[in-house]
Amino acid sequence: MGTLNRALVVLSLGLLAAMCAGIVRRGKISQSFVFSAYAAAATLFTALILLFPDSFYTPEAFIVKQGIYDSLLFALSLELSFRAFTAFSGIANRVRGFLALAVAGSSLTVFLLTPPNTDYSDMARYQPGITTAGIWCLAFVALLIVWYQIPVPAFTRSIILGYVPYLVIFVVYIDLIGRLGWGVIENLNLLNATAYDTSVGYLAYAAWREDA
Amino acid sequence: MIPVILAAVAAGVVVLVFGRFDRNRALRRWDFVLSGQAEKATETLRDRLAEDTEIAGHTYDLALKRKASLSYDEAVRLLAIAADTIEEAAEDRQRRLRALSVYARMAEAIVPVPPVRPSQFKLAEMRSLTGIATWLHELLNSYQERFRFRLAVIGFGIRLVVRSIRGSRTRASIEPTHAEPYQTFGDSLHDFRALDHEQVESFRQLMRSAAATDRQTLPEGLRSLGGDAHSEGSEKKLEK
Repeated sequence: MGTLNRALVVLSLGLLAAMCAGIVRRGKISQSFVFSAYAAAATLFTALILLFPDSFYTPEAFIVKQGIYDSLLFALSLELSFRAFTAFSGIANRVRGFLALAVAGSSLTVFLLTPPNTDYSDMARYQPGITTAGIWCLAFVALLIVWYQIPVPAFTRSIILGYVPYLVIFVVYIDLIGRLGWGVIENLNLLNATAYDTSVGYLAYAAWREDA
Repeated sequence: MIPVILAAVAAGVVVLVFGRFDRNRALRRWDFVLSGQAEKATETLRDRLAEDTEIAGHTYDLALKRKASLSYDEAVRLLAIAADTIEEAAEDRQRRLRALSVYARMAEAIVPVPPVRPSQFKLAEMRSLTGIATWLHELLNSYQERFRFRLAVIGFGIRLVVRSIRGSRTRASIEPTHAEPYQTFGDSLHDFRALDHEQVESFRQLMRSAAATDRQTLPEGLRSLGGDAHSEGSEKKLEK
């Protein structure tokens, strides 16, 4: 890990810790348990990478970490939609139908893209599709919220607005690794880490902001 | 490359659509939907819509009088003023229809609404539009779809009427002595009033539907919205 990249990872650890503290301090855990779990997991993984790079800055650890993040991404879509629409019985059935379609579509994508033995060198082949499916699930939830004018809490809005743009950068990052080869990974890591810090910085701010 | 494009499209949609979503505005809309003052709000809307058409109708009557007294230039000028009034009113109607469409999504269930009646219109294109719409209305599955289709028909009808008004104004300025442009203008004005009536009726049905919303099923923040304390003044503000 290069010096600049390491500095960005240290910064992201600080921002993640600030975000976790904000979520707890402002009582926003109840707005999304899954996102809170993601924040905690990301903080833990980042700390482990910095403290024990030999064990955790490895392809195997990355695969495990990414699998957990992907699962949390899909769980986040389901949790946000559940929280937003369950109370509205008149539209809940229709929303469930839309989400069932989105989940079925994304599950199919994941099923088709994931190789039997996931390998770090194959990641560029399957990871962009999986993350894109997760992005579309979140996009569906966001569009349904706007369509039905559901007054979701400000932090929920920030989660979607802060996380989705970063995920696009992540998809581009993985796709470029696949196209340009592993030789450029250091430069691409800088791009990814900068985008991640920007996203986490915004989410940390949103976590600390007092909602009206 | 395909996942990158799909991801970018999704993010673009989220940022553009969800980024512009205003929670406070949504809360105000819920407040209006749950206010449950159907009759009062309907009367307020009916009066407001009548103001525009009364001005246009009065100006049109004056134009006919000027034409009868052979003051053609003055008649054409008055017709143009009446047309401008209707065009401005039409923009306002389209805004209201869009708002009604949003409110219709928020209502838990919509009471059944009849299709827009073709026999009340004088313009041939309006009768054709509403005739086809009546047939399509029956093909739609839910009351909510039928309600939103009704709003779409009214919106399209307003465009047709405005087009007819523009055309008759132009024809009157070319041939001010001919009776046809004045007659078509009068028919368009009549149809515009009929569309206003249909819009008010849609609004009344929507308010009735909204009043039936079971508040206990709504999230805590929405249960206390609306209610008796809602004043007419705040309704006007919400309507804007």
